[in-house]
Amino acid sequence: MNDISMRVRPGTATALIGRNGSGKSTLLSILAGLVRLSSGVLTTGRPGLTTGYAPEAFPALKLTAEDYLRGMGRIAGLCEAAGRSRVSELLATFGLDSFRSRKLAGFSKGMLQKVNLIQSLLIRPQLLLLDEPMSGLDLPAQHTLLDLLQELKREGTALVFSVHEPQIIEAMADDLYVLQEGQMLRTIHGAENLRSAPAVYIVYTELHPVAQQAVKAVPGVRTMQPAPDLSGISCTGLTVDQKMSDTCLQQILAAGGSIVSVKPLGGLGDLTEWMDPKDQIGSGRG
Amino acid sequence: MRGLIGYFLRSYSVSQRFFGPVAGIVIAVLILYSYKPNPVMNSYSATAVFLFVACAWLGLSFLNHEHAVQKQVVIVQLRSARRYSIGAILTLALLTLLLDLVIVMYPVMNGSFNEPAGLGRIVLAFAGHALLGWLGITLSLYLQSSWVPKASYAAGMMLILIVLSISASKVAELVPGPIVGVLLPPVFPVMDAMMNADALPVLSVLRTYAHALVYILLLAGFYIYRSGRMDYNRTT
Repeated sequence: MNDISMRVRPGTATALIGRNGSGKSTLLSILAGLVRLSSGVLTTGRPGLTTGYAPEAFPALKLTAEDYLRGMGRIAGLCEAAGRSRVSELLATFGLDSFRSRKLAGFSKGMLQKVNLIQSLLIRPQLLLLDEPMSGLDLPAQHTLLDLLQELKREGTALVFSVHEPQIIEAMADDLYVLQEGQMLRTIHGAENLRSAPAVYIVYTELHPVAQQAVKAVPGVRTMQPAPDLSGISCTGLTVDQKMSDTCLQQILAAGGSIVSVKPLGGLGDLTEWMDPKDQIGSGRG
Repeated sequence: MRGLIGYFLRSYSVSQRFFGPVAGIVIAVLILYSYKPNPVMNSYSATAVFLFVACAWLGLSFLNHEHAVQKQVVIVQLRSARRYSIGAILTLALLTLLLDLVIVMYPVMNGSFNEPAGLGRIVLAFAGHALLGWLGITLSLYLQSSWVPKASYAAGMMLILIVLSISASKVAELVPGPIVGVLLPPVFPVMDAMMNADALPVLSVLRTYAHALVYILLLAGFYIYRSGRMDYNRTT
């Protein structure tokens, strides 16, 4: 990996996105202290930072879920009673209570992922690193995980996760790093900058200049510019805030215009492009 | 550390990989003592070498039993790769002592010797077994899959080291100078000291034991130091 610079703050969620092999897992391994830096520095603001780490592809061990998790709790420093209680609480939360005495070797991919997540959450860590946390989870488990992560975030845990699902970014992320071939392609700080305000792009047949001006004067209109002609009829393209789009449409129709098309814009639509960056290295960073 | 050792013991026991080395040493000891009576220190010397071989095997099977991804999880939970390595070494040291106790006490309880063993000789035997067992363990530290990824190479190197260590006196005749005595694991000197413990001054036996202990501590210390400077991003 090259030219990586990032800061993880308490109580925030940082998403790492990019294609397979872009370096997301390696970056998480570095943050977990599993991979040493060949150059550069990794500093922590707090001495003795507690870290939870849920790697990708958790192995199917021969231990039972309960034995394994209680063992991990003891290793993480939980006393016997606290470990037993926390393991029971998390097994119940993820719906694995009835499988606690079964060996992990017989678990499905989704069940293993739940055990993986539980071991990372045992101690309520200050830094939580999750490598594709939604992978293999059923819908209820995804909601459970999101609720748990939101709770941890409110309590001050710094979350860093690699992800392929836009939903978790929409629900959680404050910062976003787009990786490609081991480099940081784009960084976006602040949840408000992750998504543009929803808007609507309306194409309609051109109106009388006075009516055009009246439409342009509607609050929430962002741009008005000529659009490609429709069978020889001049058209106008109008970008307007979503909440004012109905007003504009009514005004256009009342002035005798005809609606050619209406297309929603903004929201998290840009994520799809960021998640599949195409040879953008060197083409500028946001 | 107790939590880590407990986890290692549980994880290793359910993996059942201990069966080979433990069964091997049990069979070897049973065969050795199937005839009675036996000379005390000569027999102990032989079983100590058996333990050296079994512990080298046990060490490899223990150090390779953990899945690479699970190893990452444990290292993060511990917040230290060195602590992980120390826990593994302590677990193996405990297992060695357990085998040591059984091997040393079995012939005493079974009346397999030609004379009473005596406390002094039992203590010397216990220490000698422990040292040779730990020597086997320290060799396995450097031949585990995260150091030597190809299992066949690791097994080959282990066999060569075992043979060279046991036959160090013959190797020393072929290679003049102090190299053999310094570099090769001091298995033969300990074996020789145990065998002749009745005739040798106690100080001489203890000096040989100290040599083995220093060798073990140096190898284990360097391993712990190196384990804190390695990458753990393998997933297989």
